[in-house]
Order: sequence, then structure tokens, then C-alpha cells
Amino acid sequence: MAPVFAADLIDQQWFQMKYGDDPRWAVPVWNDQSWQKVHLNLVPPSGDILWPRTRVKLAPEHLDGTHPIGLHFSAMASHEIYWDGVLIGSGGRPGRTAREEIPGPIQTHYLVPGRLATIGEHEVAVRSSAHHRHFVPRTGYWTMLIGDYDRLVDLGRRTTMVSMISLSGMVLVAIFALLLFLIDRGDRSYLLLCLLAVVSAVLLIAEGWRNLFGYTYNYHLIRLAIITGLTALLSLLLLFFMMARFPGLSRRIFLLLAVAGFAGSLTVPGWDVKALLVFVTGLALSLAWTIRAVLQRRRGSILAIAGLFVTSAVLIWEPWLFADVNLYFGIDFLLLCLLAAHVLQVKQVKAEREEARIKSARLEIELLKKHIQPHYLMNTLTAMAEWMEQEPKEAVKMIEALSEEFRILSDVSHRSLIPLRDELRLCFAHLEIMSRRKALEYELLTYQIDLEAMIPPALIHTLVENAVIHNKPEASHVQFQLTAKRQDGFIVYTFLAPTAPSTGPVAEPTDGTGFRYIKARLQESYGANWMFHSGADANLWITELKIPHAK
Amino acid sequence: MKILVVEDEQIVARRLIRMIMAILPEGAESIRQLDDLYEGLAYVRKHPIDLLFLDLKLNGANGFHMLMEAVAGSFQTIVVSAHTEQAIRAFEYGVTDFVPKPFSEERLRKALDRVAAPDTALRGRTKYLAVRCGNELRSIAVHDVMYIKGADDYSEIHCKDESIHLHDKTLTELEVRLPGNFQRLHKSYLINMDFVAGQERQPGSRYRAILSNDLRLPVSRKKIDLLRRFLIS
Repeated sequence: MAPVFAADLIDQQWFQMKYGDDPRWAVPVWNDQSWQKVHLNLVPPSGDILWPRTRVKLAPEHLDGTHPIGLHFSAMASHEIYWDGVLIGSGGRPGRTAREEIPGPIQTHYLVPGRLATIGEHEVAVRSSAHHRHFVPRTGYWTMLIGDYDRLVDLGRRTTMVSMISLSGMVLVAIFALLLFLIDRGDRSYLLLCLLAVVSAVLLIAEGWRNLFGYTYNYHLIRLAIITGLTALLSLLLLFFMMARFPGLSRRIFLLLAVAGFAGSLTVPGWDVKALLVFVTGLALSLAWTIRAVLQRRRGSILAIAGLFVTSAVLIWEPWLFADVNLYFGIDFLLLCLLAAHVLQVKQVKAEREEARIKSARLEIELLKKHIQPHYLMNTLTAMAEWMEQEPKEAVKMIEALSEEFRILSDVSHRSLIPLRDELRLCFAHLEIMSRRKALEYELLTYQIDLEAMIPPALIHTLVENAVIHNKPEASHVQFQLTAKRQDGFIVYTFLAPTAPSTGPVAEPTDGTGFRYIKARLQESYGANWMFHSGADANLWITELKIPHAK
Repeated sequence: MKILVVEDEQIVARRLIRMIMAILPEGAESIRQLDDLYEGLAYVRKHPIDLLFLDLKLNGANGFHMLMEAVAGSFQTIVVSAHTEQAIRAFEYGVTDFVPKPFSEERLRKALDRVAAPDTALRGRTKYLAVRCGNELRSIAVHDVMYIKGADDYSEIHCKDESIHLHDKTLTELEVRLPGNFQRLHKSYLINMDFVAGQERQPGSRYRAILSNDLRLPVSRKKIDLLRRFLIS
């Protein structure tokens, strides 16, 4: 069985070169000893046509009879290639001026006709011009490889095909992250994850374009600029993502460092180096940011740092292959880690939601329970029985008030916020009942109240209730007072109730279940964004409640 | 009969007093209403009463303490409360009755009937006795009591750990509350029969009961048969 490929490729690096143009220079016997001997990496720039000539030695192992000989040529130049004086291929059309020249492909390969590919030395001459480079490359960007034609064809594509495997992963992550973002607009990190995956995919395609589709060399600069730009964008998105996922610290410092790092990277000669340094900058800053998150034991940070570490390790291991292949597998792994972190987060959010739901249900039950607890209900019914027997009309009023209180209660108890209008109706109904129970006149005065402002249910009601329970009235008329005040985005409610000296150890209002209920409701609706304070002096019990203003 | 009503709900208190007056047209010597038990107890120290109507808010931590304060007193206590789930416990501490809110005149009449003739209704329900030790209240399990000795208007409770406590209620008042194993073997002694081990005869056909700790207590002549029957069985 024949080997897959014939012997190693011949990498032709040293050429005799001369500027100018003479068709005779293609002929093998032309004496080029007076020409300048130049390495391909150091081809000098010039505005004229350049002739590099070199001698290629084909050995028997190159010619096994089954594999044809080919010539791979890649350069930022239009070219005609002569093998022993015979034109075997041309890319574009070299010319003495930019107008005369037609740009050739950035890389191509030619079949060396069998009759020319014989054992021994051959003269290869290139007629070239490069008026459309738009920049002077640091190295020549010239490569000439000679050997097994199939292998030459396969050469770049094989690398690119391997890296393309990671493309589907990126596309999937991009779509998935986009869906997550659309479902939950609140979380910007999903949009960043989507962009991260999209940019990785585009970068991968831009990187692979040369081997997959090719282009004329005048586009090479544009492609390099695109790759460097995409790399910068990728590393910036990586940093933004970590910032969004693990908020904290000063973003400004990190962004300044990123910009400084990018600027520094771009001054370094060589496009590959620029792109690499840009990526290293973003990766290093992301690592620094995420290490802090890990130290703070933030959820998902371990997975994120694992992804970053693997990407870094791959980079350090083979920095020069990084941009071509390894980067994308590194990114795929990183994306995988971030998705896994997302799964963990979903799990946590689900648990938190469930907990919040249970908590809400518990608060609702607590509120309802307060009203069917025996002390409240049975005392009310006892008083009602007395009114019925003594003054039936008063009893009817009491029944109305009680049914009003229960009606509002069943309307509002399952909601987390209600308009103050309903809250006050609840309070008035309660005071009506208590007035008839205690044979006193309880009154709630309100000042500067916005009836449409929202408030968790039964907060003021609980204060009123406490005030009635813990009040030993000395007069037949008891007044409570509720005042509202707007204060930059918040409303401050102040509730005032008279205190009266008591002979026995009456329970302080602060240790009651009432305050626990109020605080639990506030937390349910506003997180930590509220204030509640209650205290008493000799005459007044003062309660202050500060909540975000909402309608 | 001197009555104190501890109830901070004015209408409920009004109802209670109105009904008591109707049921006891002559029996109620005086009725006084106060808002809480602490005021009430301060009042009772200066003005002895016969009957306390107590609204017990048993939901709080001090509800139970209030109940003990009340039953440690010399007077009878009727709890008038919405917390019916605490009725059994209240009876275990020796309240005369537990009237659940809301209440009718008929129910109140029944309660006042019990005050007049407590034995049948109350016999055996008490499981604890609340006693005062200095400033604090202590509850004694009835089965730990060996015997109770009657003094003038109070009682001495002797426990099996040899501790002795004073109770403001008379021996007769305690007798109606305590379970059947407490027998009045002597006019001054209420003995827990579970601790009786034997009997001895003394000169002059006087009898004494021997308790498990070898203590000997006098037995009335009328009760000797009862003691004998108990010892045989």
C-alpha cells in the first residue's frame, strides 16, 4: 500500500532576487550569481517587479510515481511561477505599476507537470509585484513549499477543518444565551454570553477564511485588522461578562487597564503578536476579576475560573498555534463552563423562588390567621351579642364593619402590594369594630396621603391594631395619626399613637408578632430597600416606615 | 358575694356584669370591674373577694402565669375566654369554670351554680396546685402531694419530697377540687390514699393512718371503716 503522502515537503527559503523585469530571467540557465541572496522572510519592499529565483532539488523519495508534485505559493504579491523556464501557474497579473497589476490570491498551489518533475535540480523563478499590500509587512509573508501535491492542497484546510468543529458549539451557545436573555431581560450577562459566542464564531470564520475560501492578497490587511479587532472585542466581552456575572469592584479601573493593554498590544509589530497580546490582556483581566469572585465564594465563579484557566493553559502551552486552533477549543470549554454555571444558577433561583413563594403564602396565612384568632373574633362576637340584645342598630353597624374588614382582607391578603386606599379602608373598619367593642371612639387621622400609593397589605392596619391593644385609654376619644412625606423616591409614613401608663408589665409593642409580620412583608416587597423604626416616649408611640415610592 | 371582673373589653364587661346582676339579684354584694389582673390582684389584697371573673389572653407567654396567680388565691375563679383550647389546662389548675366567649346568660348561670355547689362539677379535675413561694409562683403536681393539713383560712401542703407549701384556699375548697384518692380522714387532714400503707390503733380507740414514709396521721372515728376498706382492697 502506498503511503498517504510522499516524503517531507521542501521548504524553499533562500532566493536570488532582483528588481526589474526581463523575460529571460525565467530561463534556468540565466546567471543570477550577481543577484542579491535574500531569505523569504526579509524580502525588501519596492515599487517595481521583483524576480526571486531558487534551485529546487527533487530527490527519488519525492517521486514515488503515485503522488504528483505540486508547488504551494503564498505571498502578498501577484505572481507568475516558472519551473525550468516553463510557466506553471500565475496568480493575478504582476505589473510595474499598481494600475498595471491585478492582485493575485494570498495563497495557492500549482501542479508541476510530470514531465518537468524529474529527479535532480530545477530552477524555479517567480515574477512578482506587490503594489496592493497597503502596508509594509514585518516579515515577507512569503512561503514556497514543494512536494506531494495532495498534501499541499490538504495543508491549511486540515488545520481549519479541525478548528471548525468548535463552531457548532459556539452557534448553539449563542442561540441558547440569546433565548435566555429574551426570556429574562433583566440579566445582561446572557446577552454578553451570546455576543461572546457570536464573536468567537465570527473570529473563527475570519481566521479560517484564508484556508477555506481564499482571497486576493490586497484584502489581507483588512482580514488581519478584522481578526485583531474581533480578538479585542472577544477579550473585552469576556471581561464584561465576568463583570456582569460577578458584580463588584471598580469597573472603571479594569476598563482603563484593558484599554491601556490593548493600546500597548497594538504598538507591537506583527499582526499575530498584536492579536495574541490583546487576547492575553483581556484574559488576564478577566482572570483577576474572577479570582476575586472565587475568593468571595460567588456562585458559579469556580466554573468560570476553571474555564479561564484551561483557556490560559492552552495559550501558554502553544502560543503560536493558539490563534489558529487552540483558541476555539479553549473558548468552547469556557462556554461550557459558563453554561454549567448558568445551570447551577437556575437551580438556585428556582430554590429561591420556591422559598419566596412559600414565604408569601405563610404571610398570607399569618394575616388571615390574625383575624380568625379567638381573641379577636370571639371578643368581637361577644360584644356583638351584647349590642344585639341591648341596641340592635349598633349591632348591625358592627356586623357591617366586620364584614367589610373580612371582605377587604380576603381581597388583599394574597397580594404583595395594595393601594393605600384599601389599606385605610381596612384600618377604618377595624377601628369601627374596636370602637364598638371598647365603647370608645377610635379615630385615625391622615395627612398628605396619596391614596394610590402602593404598600404591602395590612402594615398600617397592624400598627393600628397594636396601638389599640397596647393602649390604655384615659379618655373616651382616642386619636391615631398617619402622615406621609415624599423623600427622594421614597415615602416616609409616620404613625403616631398615644401611650398611656400601665400598672402591670404589659408587653412592649416591639416584641409582638405584629412587627415580625411588618418586617417580613417589607422584605418580601422591597428586599433591603426599606426602613422601619418604632419607639415610644412618655406620651407618644412613634413608628416610621420608609418604603420606595410606587404607584 | 363579692365579685371582681377582670376584663378590658368594655362591652364584654358590661354584658358580664349585667348578666351576673340578673342571675344573682341579691347574691352580689358588690361587683367591681378592672382592666387587668395585676390591678385586680392589687385590689384583692385590700378588698377580699369571693369570686373572680378572669378574661385570660392565653395566647401570650404571661397568660398562663396569670392563670396561676388567680388560682393561687383564696377565691374561686371563673375564666371567661376566647381561648377554649386552654380550658382543660385551666381546669387542671383548679378553676371553678371556664366560660367560652361568646357566652349567653344560661351559660353564665351554670357557672354561678357551680360556684354555689362546687363538689360535683369540680371533683377530680385538678392536677396541679399553684402555690406561692415568696414572690414566685410554683405549680405542684397533685400526685406528689402526700397530705394537706388544714389551718384556719389556709392549708399546708405536704409533698413526698418533704417540702411544705401554704395555699390560700381552705381544706374544704381544696377537697372539692382534688381527685378521689384524696380522702378527708380527719377534719384537719386531707390524705392522698396512694401514700397510705397501714393503720394503727392507739389507747382510747384512737386510730392513726401510717403513711409510706412512716408518718402517722390521726383518723376520725367515722372514717375508720373507709380506711379499713381501702387497706383490704
